[in-house]
Amino acid sequence: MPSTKSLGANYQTNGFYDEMLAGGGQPRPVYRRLYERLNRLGPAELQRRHELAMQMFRNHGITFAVYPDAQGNEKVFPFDIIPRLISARAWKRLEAGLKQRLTALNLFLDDVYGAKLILKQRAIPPEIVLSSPQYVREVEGLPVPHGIHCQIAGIDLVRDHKGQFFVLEDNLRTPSGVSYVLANRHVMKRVLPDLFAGYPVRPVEGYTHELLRHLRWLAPPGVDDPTVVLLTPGINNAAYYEHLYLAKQMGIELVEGTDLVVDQDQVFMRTTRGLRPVHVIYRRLDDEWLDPIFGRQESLVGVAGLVNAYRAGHVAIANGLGNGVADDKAVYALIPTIIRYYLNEDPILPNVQTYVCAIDDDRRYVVEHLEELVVKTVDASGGYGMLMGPASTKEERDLFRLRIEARPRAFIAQPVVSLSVQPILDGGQLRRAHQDLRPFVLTGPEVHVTPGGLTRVALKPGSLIVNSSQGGGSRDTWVMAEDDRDFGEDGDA
Amino acid sequence: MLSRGATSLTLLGRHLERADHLARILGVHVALSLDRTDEPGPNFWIRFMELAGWPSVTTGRRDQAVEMLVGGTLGPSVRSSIESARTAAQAVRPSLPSELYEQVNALHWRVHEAAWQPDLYPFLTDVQLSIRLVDGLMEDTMSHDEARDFVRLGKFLERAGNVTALVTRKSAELADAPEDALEWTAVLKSCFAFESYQARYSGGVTPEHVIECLLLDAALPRSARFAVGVALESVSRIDGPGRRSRPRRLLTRLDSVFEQADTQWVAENPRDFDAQCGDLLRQLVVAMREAYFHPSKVPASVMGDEGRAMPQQQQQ
Amino acid sequence: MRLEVVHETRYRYAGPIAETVMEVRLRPMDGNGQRCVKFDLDVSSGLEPRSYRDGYGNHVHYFNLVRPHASLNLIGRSVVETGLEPDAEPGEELVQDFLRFRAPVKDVPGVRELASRHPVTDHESGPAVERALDELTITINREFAYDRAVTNVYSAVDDVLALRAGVCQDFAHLFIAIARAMGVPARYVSGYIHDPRERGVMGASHAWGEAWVPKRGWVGYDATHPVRITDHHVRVAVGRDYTDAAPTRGVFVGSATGTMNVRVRTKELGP
Repeated sequence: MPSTKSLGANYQTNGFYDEMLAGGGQPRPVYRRLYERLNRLGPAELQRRHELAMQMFRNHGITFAVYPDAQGNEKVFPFDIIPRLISARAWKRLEAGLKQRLTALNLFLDDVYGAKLILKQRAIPPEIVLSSPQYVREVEGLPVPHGIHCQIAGIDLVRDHKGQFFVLEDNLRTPSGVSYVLANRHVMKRVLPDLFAGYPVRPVEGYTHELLRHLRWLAPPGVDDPTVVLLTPGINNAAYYEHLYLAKQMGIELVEGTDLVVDQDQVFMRTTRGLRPVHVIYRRLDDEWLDPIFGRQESLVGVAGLVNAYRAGHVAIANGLGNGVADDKAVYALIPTIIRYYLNEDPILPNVQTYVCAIDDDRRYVVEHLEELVVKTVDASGGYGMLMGPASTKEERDLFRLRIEARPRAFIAQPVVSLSVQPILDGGQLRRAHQDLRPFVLTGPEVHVTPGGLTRVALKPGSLIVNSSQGGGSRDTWVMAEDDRDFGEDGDA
Repeated sequence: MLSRGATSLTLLGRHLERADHLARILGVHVALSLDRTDEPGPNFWIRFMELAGWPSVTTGRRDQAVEMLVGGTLGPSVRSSIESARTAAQAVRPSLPSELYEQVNALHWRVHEAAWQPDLYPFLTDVQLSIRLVDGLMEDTMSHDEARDFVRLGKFLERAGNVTALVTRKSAELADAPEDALEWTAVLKSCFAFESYQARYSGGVTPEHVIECLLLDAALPRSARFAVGVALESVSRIDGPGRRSRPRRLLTRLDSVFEQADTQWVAENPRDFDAQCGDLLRQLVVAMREAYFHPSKVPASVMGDEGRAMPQQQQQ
Repeated sequence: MRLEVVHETRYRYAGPIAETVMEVRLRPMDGNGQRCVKFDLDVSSGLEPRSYRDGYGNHVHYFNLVRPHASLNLIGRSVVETGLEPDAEPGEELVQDFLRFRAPVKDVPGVRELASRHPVTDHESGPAVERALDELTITINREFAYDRAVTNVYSAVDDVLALRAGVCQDFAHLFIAIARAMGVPARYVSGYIHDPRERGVMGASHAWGEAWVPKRGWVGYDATHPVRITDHHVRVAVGRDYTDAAPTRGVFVGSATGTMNVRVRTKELGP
């Protein structure tokens, strides 16, 4: 039974770029069909489907732990049932841009830990790179199979008020969230199958198959049937359930540091039938904790001797070591130059304008314009340690000013990007919420981008922070395999 | 499967069985203490605590025994066993069906919240029924593979040990008063075997028949011999046809000890029988560790499983 | 000078342990006025260590022992020629990562204060940098007491500042911290010093700091003695701090406590 008024009747976009509803509450062409169906289902039914979805997530075991509650239960990642749609044309450009970026970043990492040509030729300021806390000199000279340092990346994209896509941040070490991409789709297909009709949505479930194929490809030469494992820090890690989920989907063993032992430069797994050789490790442990001989001596979660086994070529690890220098936020500002240097091409996907406080002129500008800027530390994640200029108090700004002057290399600043919005269903009404997009990129025999990725939604009203640890959620993301004439222009830039 | 997984699964089986056993013997002995015409003296409770695995308790009172057995931390208790079971289950969550984990988790929280005050019996019943439920889930929803074999191995070894110890100890205790049918009935009830006994033996409760039933019966799931048989079966499946591991050889020996035991002899020498079995069970723990849990050729002489940094010295 | 160094390390555990995994940095470096003529490493239990060069250029030997053991002995024997001509080229100038602070070399007010007392007048001028560092070396020696009883292998620069005392490892960390605060890249050197007065027997190896001097490269400063590096110094390994350059580094599995004993003997050899 159609509702008497459309869901979007009272919806306001307030000048933000809305992915779904253009001016006057009218859906953009690609969303037209979807919007009609949502209205036909109506708020009560949509609410019911939402509850069903949450139940499925709980049963499926897709949870995360921030501060596990007293019951020891983990939280289900909040979810909105309205999917995000991306046209084939728009995706084609994003995909090309991501492939270009990852190709350049891998060349950069190989160069920086090898011949250092880009630094010697001063194509970028060497001080910025070498002063990164993530520049790990010990990685120099480590033979890296196929020269690929980052096999699995998560790149955070945002859209500004004109709908143009920018890269906000790169995650090249242990990016997480792909399990939600898979789970979201799994649940949507079961809870709202009718929404899919007529939309040629590209499947995402091939991700684990692709990932496993990439991992197996990394195996040392001469190994016919490589044993691949996923190394997790264990149950106390916030992303543990993603580790569990991915290992199960790929059919590989989920191991902790104590399950592995290195003997004569070979890595083995302790099984009930004795020691079994391991050839490829998908590690979700930071560099510092991976091997107490290489990094922190007190690491109880790592495997002693692992890096030397890697050095000897007897085990492959994904991702490689030292990638943090390329996702350092100050180095981020240099990436357009880096792309041009290695590929002789202009970047397809632009960066957000960034002020690097290590550079004097930039720092002066930043401390004088703190109310207009977002200030971040170069190696933070999870949205912590940030200053949101427009929302800050004078005391907060003064404190940040002092911190920036004391350690300029630790900070960068960007103008506030008005992240695009899309409605979420909140109590039967549509309410706008900011969101970003994290596609996952696999680099192996070729570069493979998951169609879509994780759309993270800031659920707190008015919030721009999409991280799960601070009130974020997600929605399913659909990339069209081809564009219908009906889709028309969806305003993507 | 991973050694760490095998260790945890075995511990899960052991600790659930232990919790069940403790809940049962507590219930039975509290009832037994009320069945007498006079209040049993402290000796009754001291002996009971010893039976439950608290050897150095000196004051024997019912309320104390209940408290320690339900929630004590200095010895085996229902709460500590369930807690250990849950920790083990968490460690092998990938290998367990989710309903099974959730039952263990839920039971853990109920026990934790001291739900036994003030009604002991509903609480003990809840514990025992929940453990039955987990058993059922294991049989019915878990793949009958190596993971389940390790859980059963832990569970039935625990049962074999507990039943043997219980029967032989009581046998020694009651050597002077073998006609105490009440006490022997309590033994049967402690092993959840009273009705099975009655179905099999018509002449009332006698020591020899109890020994025969609880220690040597090959068909009764509550008997020690049956438990050893299941443990042997599990280990044989774990090893596969080609391998004769030390755990398997030890269990074969233990199995034949039970098979060849003479009821009369056991009745007259209960402590010797207990010692013989106990010795094999202890060797078995070490053998399992070396064969399955820590097979990087590290013998049991090395204590401690954690990695540590080697000492370093300042440069002067 | 031609020096022979024998560096013995013995580990003893209260009970058997399993799975020792170790790396050692015991082979002296080549270059910058020094040449390692001969090096042998003996590990008890007849293990054959493997080796590689790490990202700092150190020679690393490593091995693991998976069967139970309660002791381990290592003996590194080297013959080194010192006092040779320094390298013709200063080497790669990409050394700005040696300006970064990281525990135990911390950026604390005490460090900044000492740095302000030794300003470098011209960072592009080798002599200016060296002058400031010479004075810093003397300052540390004068204002901090050599005392073996007050710090330990985990002590950081702020501990040393509070105690105004320490051993060579601490003075090296202090030198490095202050040099970095002065804007001069600096790194830690682990090595030996041959002191004929001690009859060449010591209970530990030695440590000092190296700073990057424009157009010259890495120059060593020993605040304990206080001198620039002489032909009595043998350079073994370098890094950001002790943890990168430590002569030995390892982990073991087991709960037994371990103790360590070191003996270093140096001897001047004939030509």
